Amino acid sequence: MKDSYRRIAAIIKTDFWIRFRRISTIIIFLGLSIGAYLWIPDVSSGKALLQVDERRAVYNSAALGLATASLCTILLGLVAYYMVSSSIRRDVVTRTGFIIASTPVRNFEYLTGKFLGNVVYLSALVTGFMLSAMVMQLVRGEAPLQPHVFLYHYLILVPPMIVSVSVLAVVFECIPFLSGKFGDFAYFFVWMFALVLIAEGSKSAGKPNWASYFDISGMGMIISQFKEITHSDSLSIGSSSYDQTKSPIVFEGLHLTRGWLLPRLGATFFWIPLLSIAYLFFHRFNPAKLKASSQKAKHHLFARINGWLKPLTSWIFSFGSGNRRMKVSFVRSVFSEMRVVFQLSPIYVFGVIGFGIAALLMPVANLQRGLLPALFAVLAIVLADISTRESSAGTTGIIYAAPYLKPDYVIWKFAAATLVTFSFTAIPFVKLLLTSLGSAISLIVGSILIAAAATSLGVMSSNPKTFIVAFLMFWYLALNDGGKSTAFDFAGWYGTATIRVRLLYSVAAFAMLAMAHVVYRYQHKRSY
Amino acid sequence: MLQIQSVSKKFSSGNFGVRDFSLNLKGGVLGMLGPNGAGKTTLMQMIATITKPTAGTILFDGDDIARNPEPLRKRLGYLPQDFGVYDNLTAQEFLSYFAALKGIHSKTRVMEMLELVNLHSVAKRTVGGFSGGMKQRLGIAQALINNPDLVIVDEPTAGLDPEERVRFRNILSDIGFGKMVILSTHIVSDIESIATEIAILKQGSLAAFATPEVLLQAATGSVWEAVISSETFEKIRTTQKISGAIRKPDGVHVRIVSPDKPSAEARAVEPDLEDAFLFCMNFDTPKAA
Repeated sequence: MKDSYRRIAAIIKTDFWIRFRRISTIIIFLGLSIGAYLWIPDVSSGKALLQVDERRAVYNSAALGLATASLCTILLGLVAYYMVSSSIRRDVVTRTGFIIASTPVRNFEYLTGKFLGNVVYLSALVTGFMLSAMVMQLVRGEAPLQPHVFLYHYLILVPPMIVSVSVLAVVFECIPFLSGKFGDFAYFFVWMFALVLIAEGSKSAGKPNWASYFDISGMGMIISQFKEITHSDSLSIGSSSYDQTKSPIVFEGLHLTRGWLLPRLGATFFWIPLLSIAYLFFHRFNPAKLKASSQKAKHHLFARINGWLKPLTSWIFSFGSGNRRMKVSFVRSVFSEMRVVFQLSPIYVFGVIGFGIAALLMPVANLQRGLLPALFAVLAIVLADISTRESSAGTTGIIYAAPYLKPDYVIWKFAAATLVTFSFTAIPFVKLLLTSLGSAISLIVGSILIAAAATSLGVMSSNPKTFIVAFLMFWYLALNDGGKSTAFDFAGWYGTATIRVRLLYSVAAFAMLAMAHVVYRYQHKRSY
Repeated sequence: MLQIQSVSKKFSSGNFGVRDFSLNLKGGVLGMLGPNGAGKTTLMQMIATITKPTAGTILFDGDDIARNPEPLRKRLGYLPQDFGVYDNLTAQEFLSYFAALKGIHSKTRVMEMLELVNLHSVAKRTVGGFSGGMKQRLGIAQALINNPDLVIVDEPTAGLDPEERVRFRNILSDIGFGKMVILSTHIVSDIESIATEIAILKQGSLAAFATPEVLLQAATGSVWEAVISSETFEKIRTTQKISGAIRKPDGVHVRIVSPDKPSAEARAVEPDLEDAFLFCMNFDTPKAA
């Protein structure tokens, strides 16, 4: 038994250090710190973090602890999955899994270690965020800092998110068709469904209902308890305007009554039995099972569709392949890279055609608010691995041997990503140009921004998930905002962006590329 | 004692990775030779309990390792082919991790292993910056950390420079005493000086299992040297099994493996293990050791 604990502890410790020392962890910590700064606005700005009936809550530890914990569970609940998935895949890719399989480690020990490793890592991220929020109370608070009150609210609200994400990451990795990109995409919809459960849970007046037992964010409990206190349905968490003529309210904190204890415990521990699914499917690095699951991956729906479409796209791309007119090598390389993106996944060609046709047929309002958000969600998947393909395929050395590419790698990738993006957004752009010049320009800016983000985050982290997570989170915030704030109209979805907003996003794109180039040069100096 | 009895591994595609393989090993260093795709890695993975045979049994000291792998796993050290590392860990952390998985919790033991493979001076350095040879040495350190009775190393010298290969060979030679070592390679010189027995695999089956001396004896009288012109060399290189060719001012000095004298000017020479391997792969299979 003692040996068992020690093996599990070794797995937890190793997984933690491997992740903690990654660049993406630094990026997430920075992002969370910036998030804490942005989400706790100065009340003199007319915005506040927590408000009921447009009355802002006084910035005490209870209000800030509750609000930041709640935002953490919802937004980190999306990001966290992508931070901790691929832990088992890492052992497959490095072939250390074969060594692990030959040791006395039992399957349940390994999977338990992976699950608890996820829990420990995510707890560290949440702790970092909580500390950032505490610092913000010192900067902008209106009452003394009470760390125990912060901790109390985080302990009530955050554990279900940590446990659910940790379990799902392990379970998805063990089930063949969920272990790759499709699982990454599917999790996004699991997270969206969790938000629906929040809405269900909030319908009760003070008492928990069935949805409360699955409410990983605790939002249902928050809304229910606020209703009891204020008799109001109107609760807002997140930086938003409040009525400065109304007096602020002092929130004393959540009450973890006996009635709410079971639902919170349920929401936390309900997930753990799902680990048995992981146990059933786990391959223990058996090469025959690994090969079978990769064969299955080749035969899953998207892979099959790509296979059917391959002859058609090969025919399309056979035109111009012998074109001698493009003499400048770098430009040729950019077009070649763009071509490779579509050749690797022919379904993207039909995505371009499909979105183009839809853009032509739709009214402009539907195009902006409906089609463009969907298009950008698809682009997140299309662009994610353009700048990480070489490191995952091991072809970096070959690429560096080609002329122009080594010194201009970041620009090359950005140019190709931009061309790919423009191929999707060209027809919507033309349609917007005829009706709303401002939105058309915003769409160009948004296209450049997403291409820059995909390129820079991919180059810096060598992991496509960093971009997918960061962008989908931003995408959700923009969608949720619904155009109320001009700052979130980054791509002409709502027609509310100002020149200043467009300029800021353009500058952000340029800054990301510049940072990526610096990091690339530094990495290049170290390893080549 | 390791007893491999009529073991086969059939994949879902219907192909056999290993077919009806039998062999008994009491100790020493078994060198497993064979071309790519011969079944070496598949066989080693079955012995290392990573995958199960689809037919036959593998017994280690009487225990069926497919049914009950735990006893062997406690006494096993395994280094897979194309071994990778966790870039963000130091050498000490990396080795401590695998030591813990094998039930070893002594820091002293970890440092001893790093000293054995000459990595103690870089114990605190992250392994992402290690050369290929250093990573392989780290790999052999983790394979030996639990003082195993059976050590399996799969193509450990692939991609290493000559100096690293010699170093690796010396480490394996040192650990070979008192243990059972199974070493697979397609580079004959890797095992020439250290193997006590050699198994040659061909298309998933055992083509030969003998001591190096028996293999060399089997090839005696079938290895020839001749000096020929470049034109003749270009003609015969596709029709004869050539184990070596050196261009000199007087012509091309070739070494040919053939049961029959290939030309009038050819003279018989003593075979080396490379010749014996070629002979076995293409002409005849010596009796089992």
